[in-house]
Amino acid sequence: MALDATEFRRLVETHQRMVYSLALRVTGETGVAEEVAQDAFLALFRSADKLESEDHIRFWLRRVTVHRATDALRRRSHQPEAAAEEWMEEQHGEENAEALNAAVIALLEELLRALPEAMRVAVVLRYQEEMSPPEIAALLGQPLATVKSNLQRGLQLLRRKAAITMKEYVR
Amino acid sequence: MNEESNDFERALTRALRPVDPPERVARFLALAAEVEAERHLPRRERNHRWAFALSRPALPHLRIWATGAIAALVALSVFAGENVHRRHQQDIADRQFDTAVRVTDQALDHTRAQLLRSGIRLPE
Repeated sequence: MALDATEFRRLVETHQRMVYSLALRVTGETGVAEEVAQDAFLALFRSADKLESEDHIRFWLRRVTVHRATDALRRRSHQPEAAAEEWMEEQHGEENAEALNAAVIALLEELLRALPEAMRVAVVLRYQEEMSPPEIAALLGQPLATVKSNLQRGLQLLRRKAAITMKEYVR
Repeated sequence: MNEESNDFERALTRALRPVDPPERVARFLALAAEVEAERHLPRRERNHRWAFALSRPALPHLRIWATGAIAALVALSVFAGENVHRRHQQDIADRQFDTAVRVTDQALDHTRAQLLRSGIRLPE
């Protein structure tokens, strides 16, 4: 399907949340995520004649976004694990339940950034995009067993880190 | 354990809710799409657009006015050019005449002095 500017705007409106959020969770930086999102949509504009349907576009956008985000991540020298520690020190003063809930969410996001790349991508696709393991395997072009293993190990690591950090947090 | 695991996964799903990008992302993309669309138009179509712009119905009276202005400008340039050339030729002729007069005066003075030294006085 060839795109004109109006149709392209509609596709941006429809998919920008998904594309940006995927890029953000994989790269962990808003600026980089914006660049990845823009890049992915421009690539869509240039490749639109090869895409046949809305589902195909969504699948294609997810794949391109994940690939570009992981490329950006590899170019980056930032150490997310340290950022998580800094974040914990800053948040010790919060006490009410709502703030605690928000803090848990923020903490999980931070811990996610500290996961190895392959596990992080699998976890983001599973829990942000709510994709099944076979769908993730198809998107990433990986064996299903690899995806399942990455998901399982990613969750284990997250849970363990969260337990340790939360113990520190409520002490 | 399973209950605990489900709680954790629910918390993770909440933490990973999709978020909106800043508005500037959509603005940049809208602009980029227009630039890209223009860039990918076939050359023939791009030329046609320019041809269309130059031959709009709103333009004929402007074209007549512009043609007249250009003709007047050309005529004015030719007239001014001729005038400058004529004045230049006149300047050269004046300078040549002045030189000739000066040379003639000097020659006459010289001849008069020679004649005077020979004892011949010419009338003034």
